[in-house]
Amino acid sequence: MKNRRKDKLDKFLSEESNDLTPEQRKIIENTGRLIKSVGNEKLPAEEKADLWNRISENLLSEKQETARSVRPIWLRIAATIAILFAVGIGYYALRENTESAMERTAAAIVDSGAATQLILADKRKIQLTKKNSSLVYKQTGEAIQIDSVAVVNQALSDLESSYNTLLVPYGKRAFLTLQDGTEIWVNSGSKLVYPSRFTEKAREVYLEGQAYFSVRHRNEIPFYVHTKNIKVEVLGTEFDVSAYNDDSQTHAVLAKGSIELTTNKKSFLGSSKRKMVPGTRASYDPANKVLNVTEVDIEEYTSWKRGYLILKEAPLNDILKRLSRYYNVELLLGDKQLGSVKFKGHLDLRNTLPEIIDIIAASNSLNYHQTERRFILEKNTIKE
Amino acid sequence: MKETEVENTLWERFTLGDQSAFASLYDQYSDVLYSFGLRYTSDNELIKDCIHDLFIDLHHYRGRLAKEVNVKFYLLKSLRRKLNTANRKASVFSFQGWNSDETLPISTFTFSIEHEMIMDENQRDILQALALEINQLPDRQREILYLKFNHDLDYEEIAAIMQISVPTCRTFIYRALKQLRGRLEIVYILFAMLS
Repeated sequence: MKNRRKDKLDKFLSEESNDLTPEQRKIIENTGRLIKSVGNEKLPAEEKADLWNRISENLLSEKQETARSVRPIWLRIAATIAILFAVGIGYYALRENTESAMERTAAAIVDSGAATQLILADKRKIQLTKKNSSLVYKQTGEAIQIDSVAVVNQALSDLESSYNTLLVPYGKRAFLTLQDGTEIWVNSGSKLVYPSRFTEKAREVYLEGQAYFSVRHRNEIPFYVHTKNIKVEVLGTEFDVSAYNDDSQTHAVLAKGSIELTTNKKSFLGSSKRKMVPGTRASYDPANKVLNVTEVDIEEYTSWKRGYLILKEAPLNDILKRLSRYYNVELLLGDKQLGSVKFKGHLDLRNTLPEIIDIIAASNSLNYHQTERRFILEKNTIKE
Repeated sequence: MKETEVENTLWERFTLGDQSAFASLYDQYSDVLYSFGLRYTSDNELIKDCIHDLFIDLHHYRGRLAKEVNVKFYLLKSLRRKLNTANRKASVFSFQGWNSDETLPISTFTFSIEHEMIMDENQRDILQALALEINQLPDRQREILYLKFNHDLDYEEIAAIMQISVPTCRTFIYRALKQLRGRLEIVYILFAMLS
């Protein structure tokens, strides 16, 4: 009895049953087809490769860990030294204000290597190998989740001032979530210094390079972004700061909320302050101490964090500088005058650099040639 | 037939410690696993984490794994278990999960109807109606249809993945198809008369 039912059911499915009306058979046939069409998604190629790297790295580090655990005493001594070191640094750092301490921390770290690095207060250096790394500080500030794979723990001393530094080289990016929930997209060629743990009075970070900040609002605990030449004070908002040492100007672009800029901060004559409204870009030139605020399309300056560049009025010089940081490849112009040519368009940073250069060259009728690590763009000698 | 043979030698090589076989397994199955995971959660980072853990486990226990298995079934079953565990952990942490189900329910389906399947507007309407009805089936029934028709698993395998008995599995699929027929037969007949 039971068996007979089974057979009948199997016949349904093999679409060979004579007991079914044509309509019934059609329904089952179509059900099969529809179900077959449900989600045959593929892992995007890059994610597939990343995941594989994660798996092989973890298998590798497991092997290393078993090897390392043979020498626990050695490790313990190293850890003790590291803690003493951290306490020592903390002690010195306490004696100066946070801003200059962070600036000093940034200056003391020499850019090295092609990988993104997180440098902890105890001088441990953690290498992040991905093109786009992610770091999340847990709420206590002690545990840091890296690329959703590894968790690093840092000892938080009672001293208030010990710092972490995130070093993002050319060709890499990092996405950082601080313990207060503030999110920071750090662009290529940047250094970001921040306390291992924020105090109850203020949240302060120091930036060299470019980063987009989405600051979590905290009543009465302001957030400061210090750069070499300007200071940005915020209460909870989204904005981009670009303060590359090799750029003549420092820029801030405000997406939401409000921020206050302090310029000439080192001047004896007193600093000047200026409030910004959303949709504007402030450019500060330390040479002539002039701060300009203009209305802009913020997408043009903030789209990089989503992996593309929207360019409206950007001169070629600027674009090439940004691209060369992003891809870590030198980009040169055969003719200096080309630098001021304006380019309008949408560049997808997932494309390879040659693909992007093709687009730029084609839309400006330029030629380019490529040597080992550089591209040179030139005027097209043949007029079309 | 031939395909499973190839898969089985690959699997066997892997269990014997062949690293390149391990890489090929990942290469061949990560997409299927990913798309399978998406049926249960839209959190693709979670899915990737589970696939990650699954492959780490496979590598760990490779010497102890059975040599003769349906590879795809084994991997799907393991991933399903990892997803459930991850889900349970997450719900404990967020304190929502005291009386939530042990297993993640399957999400409603999004069908991608190929062009050749659509003969005309009637056909499209019919498929649309059917799609709606499929999504209204109870989760467990829908899940069986998915495992059966999308992954070509047999009843024993489906039962093992869903942690139900084989007869229950048969009953579920029987009911699912019966319900679809009951709801839709009249629609088909109407359309047949109209056209």
